Amino acid sequence: MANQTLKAEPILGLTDRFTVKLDFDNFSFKSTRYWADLVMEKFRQKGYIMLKSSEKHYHVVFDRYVSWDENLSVIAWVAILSKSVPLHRYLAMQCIKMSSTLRVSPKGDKPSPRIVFRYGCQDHAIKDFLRYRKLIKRIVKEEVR
Amino acid sequence: MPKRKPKRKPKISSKTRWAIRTYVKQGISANKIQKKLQSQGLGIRRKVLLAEVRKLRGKKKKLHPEKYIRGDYRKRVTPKARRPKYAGRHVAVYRYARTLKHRRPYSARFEFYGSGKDLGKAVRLALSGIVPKWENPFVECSARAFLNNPYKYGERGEWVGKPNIES
Repeated sequence: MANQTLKAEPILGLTDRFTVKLDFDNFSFKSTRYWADLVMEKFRQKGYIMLKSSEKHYHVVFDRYVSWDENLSVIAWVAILSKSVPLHRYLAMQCIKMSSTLRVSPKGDKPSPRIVFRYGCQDHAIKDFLRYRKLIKRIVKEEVR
Repeated sequence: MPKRKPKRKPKISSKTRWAIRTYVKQGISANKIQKKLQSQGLGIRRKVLLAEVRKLRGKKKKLHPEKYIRGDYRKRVTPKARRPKYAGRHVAVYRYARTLKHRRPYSARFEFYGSGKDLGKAVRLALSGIVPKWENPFVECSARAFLNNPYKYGERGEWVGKPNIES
């Protein structure tokens, strides 16, 4: 048995417990929007932003602050109804860590996620999320220089 | 984001503390001390008084205080061990890591919280080659604490990609 590992930059992400964050892998833009709209309606969210992390991979961040229980409930609801295995895995990982994380920095060949769609109110959780995202991106930029 | 709480006032005033000390020296029980303080208009919370009396008598802090709480009340509060250290946003630095001692890559993660400047410095320090220890690969700490003593939370090593295991 042999281990082949290459030196790599660590990934920087944003972690918290009170913002609903979803990681859609192998979802088209349309279906991601569909699920985000459904969550907004069902869980009384005020708005959301969609970030494209790579081809057919999207992140969604919602604007209303929620408790950790409600946060998990939203992720689990989407994971079960969409029958998405990566989302189930994402849910399991967040349960283990007891906080949810989304990537902000580049990862290998993938660039850092960029905003592709905004909808509704952006004044609460999204505003804070973007502020921290800016901070992390600045750190990454300085590191590259 | 939750706002930072303002600094709390001390729970016992110096006058009350002095009174408690005198009563304890006289060998009066905590119940009677409480009644005396109340009659003088110096009443304080019983929990605080008991802690102070215990301290003055040189007794150790009571272990497992939750076992004295009624069961259905106990369930309402998350045990301290399961509560996160800081409820706000964290910056996570994660990937596989390896050190000189442990050549086999292991999943490692730093989660920092704190002010913007400290966060920036802490992340840069982690990127420069300090990785969480193999014994404790998931570290949650304040950025300032990490900057003050990075080798308490991590050690020299390198961040690596996902290992490809060939058998």
